[in-house]
Amino acid sequence: MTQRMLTIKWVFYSLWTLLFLLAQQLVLPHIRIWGVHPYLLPMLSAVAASFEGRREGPIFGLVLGLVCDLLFTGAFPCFYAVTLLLSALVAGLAARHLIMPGLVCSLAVSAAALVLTGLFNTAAVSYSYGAPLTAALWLIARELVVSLPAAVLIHLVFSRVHRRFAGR
Amino acid sequence: MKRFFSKYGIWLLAGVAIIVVVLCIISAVSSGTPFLRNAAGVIASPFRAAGSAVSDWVSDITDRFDSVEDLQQENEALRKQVADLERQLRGAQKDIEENQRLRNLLDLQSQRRDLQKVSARVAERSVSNWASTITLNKGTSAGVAIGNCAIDQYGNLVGVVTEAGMNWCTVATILDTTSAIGATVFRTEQVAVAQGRLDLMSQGYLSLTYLEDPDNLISGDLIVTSGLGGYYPSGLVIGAVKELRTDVGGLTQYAVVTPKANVMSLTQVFLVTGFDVVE
Repeated sequence: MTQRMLTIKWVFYSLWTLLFLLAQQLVLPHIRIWGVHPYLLPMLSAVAASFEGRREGPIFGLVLGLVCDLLFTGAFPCFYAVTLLLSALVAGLAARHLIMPGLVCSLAVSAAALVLTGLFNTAAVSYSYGAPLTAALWLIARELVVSLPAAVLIHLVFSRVHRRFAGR
Repeated sequence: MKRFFSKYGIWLLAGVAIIVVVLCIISAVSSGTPFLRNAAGVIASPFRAAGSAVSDWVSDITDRFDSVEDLQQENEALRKQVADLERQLRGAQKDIEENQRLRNLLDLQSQRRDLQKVSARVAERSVSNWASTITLNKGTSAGVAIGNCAIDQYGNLVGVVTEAGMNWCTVATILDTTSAIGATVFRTEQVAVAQGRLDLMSQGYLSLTYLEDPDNLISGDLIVTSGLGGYYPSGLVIGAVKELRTDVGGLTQYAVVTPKANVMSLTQVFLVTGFDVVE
């Protein structure tokens, strides 16, 4: 792939990510099921990394995390950079060694990313004020159930971008 | 593509990682809002404003479809409430005059509670399910500072400013797990702490802890800010007691409080930038 095509591919990924970020900020907080709303950020990083491998995926996750850290308040400094990078690393490894990239893989890595982010949040709230573990785990479970359907949409969009530039 | 990332990928990753570490150090060391976050907030604020305008417009349209019957019932209830309040006001007028007369006799300073307020619009809600924060469109340039209280149009407490940029600020609502405010039970004057709890936050409730005499609480008891220490104004309404619960350990009791401010659907708030401490 030429440098130009590479740039165009990541511009496409970035524009779709921006659209998902806007939806996360403006629309999704109003859709509450069991007291939680769909949470897309870890899934964006994980699904992109499952398609783009162990090198480009983590860089995308890290950059997205940095942007999120500058825009949103995390549980601790650089929360998004750390969690989205780790999500992308796990997704990249899973897509290479465990599951072929596809819908099942996207769902699996999205679930893993949400759980990973949830565990970091659990650690943060437990450390800062000793939140009950059961409440935190229950929140992770609800967030997982409510957010996972959106992984299908992210998969459809990102797989289209990936296919469009694959082998060029 | 693979060649490019094989050659430069590790350097890119290292470069971004260094930026992350520097940002972490800056965030940990700085007491206020870090410069980069402030700058990002300033750049993002027009987009936030545009987004919230669209979001509010959609909400307004859906609100218009509310049932007319519900509105009529609410109107009827409010008319009764106004009549009751007018009756109480007539009774209170005599008390006010008597109070003023006695204060003059004893040469006491009157208890004023002047709040200096700045109006602000909600530009963004927290994207995470683990926090209950709102971002407002006013910042340090309007006199807003970390620690300022946010109230709704009825004077009910919404939260406290935790971050302040030039033209934006973030408010941790009273439901947030980091929130802890000195509170008083209005009826008994019992002092306690109103705190956010993870298990109550998603249900839209908060807790009232460190109660001296929990059995003395009744459902519907009004909880207001105590104002102790002078950090926050006293007498701001936090909410009403819903029920009493025992902690997981079974040793302490806490009250579940329903906030008076509708934290989930606020569009406008007032930031208290100054107030008189009432002793």
